Amino acid sequence: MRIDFRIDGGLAAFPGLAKPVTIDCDRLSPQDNARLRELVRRADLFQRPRRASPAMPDARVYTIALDDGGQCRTVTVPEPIADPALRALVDALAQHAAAVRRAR
Amino acid sequence: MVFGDGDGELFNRFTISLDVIAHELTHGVTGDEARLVYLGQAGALNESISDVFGSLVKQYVRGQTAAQADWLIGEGLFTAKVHGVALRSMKAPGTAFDDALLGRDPQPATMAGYVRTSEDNGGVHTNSGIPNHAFYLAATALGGHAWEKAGRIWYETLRDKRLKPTATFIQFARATVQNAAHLFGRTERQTVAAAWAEVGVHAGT
Repeated sequence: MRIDFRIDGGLAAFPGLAKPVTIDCDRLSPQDNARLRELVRRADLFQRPRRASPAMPDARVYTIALDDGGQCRTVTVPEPIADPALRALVDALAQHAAAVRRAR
Repeated sequence: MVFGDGDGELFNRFTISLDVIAHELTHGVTGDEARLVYLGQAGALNESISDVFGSLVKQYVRGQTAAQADWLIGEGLFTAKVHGVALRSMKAPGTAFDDALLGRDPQPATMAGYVRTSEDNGGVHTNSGIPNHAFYLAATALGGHAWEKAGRIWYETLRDKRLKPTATFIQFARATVQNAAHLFGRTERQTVAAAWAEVGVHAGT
């Protein structure tokens, strides 16, 4: 399972943060791998609309491109995220993305 | 209105910055007045107006003239880990930060550096550097407190019924030039036109 994660918008333009990050679940620790897969399962991305309503000014917009080995789905989600399952997934992806950026 | 959380790592709590709070409140005003769409040049104008009034609030509270102001937006929002002073600079767009993680401040100061992109609704936080710089140039050339003349001209333009939600930089600039003449006089008109010309927007003298 691979996830391409992007953060767009927000209060300011930060080129370093705007670049997409690929999170390869199989390269994570077994614990992180399992946790992330569970969050993806709960967020149920395949049932969500691909693109939500337009974001407010200065709101961040998250793009989650999921490739689960069988199917692909890209979902764009603006802040604020009301759904707790989606919120939890975005938070986890943001943490993993930050780790990937630091390691670059 | 969206603030977002400081993450404690790179960013402090966003609400510690008065100009950022005023920036967000101004989006509400713009939404009621000119209703500039949050896309492309109109979106960059929307962003710039929020920075203009954000900065004016800070300057007013500090009792600063245009010459004394630092013209920084979001100073103090970065933690010590970040190599940068603010989110944006109206005085020197493109110099606010240059950091290993955040990247370099992408803002242009003039139309020569205008960024064509699909990110960030067409670069609204990036190309806002151009009208921001025009305001800084106008305010410092007009002298005194920035809210007295430049701020007044920009506010009247924001409320100008002729300004469309899809306004481009040149349309906004022309309106500020007309409002400068209408509110003050020929000197102010020429000063505002010159400020826009310096950033590459030729709105007539």
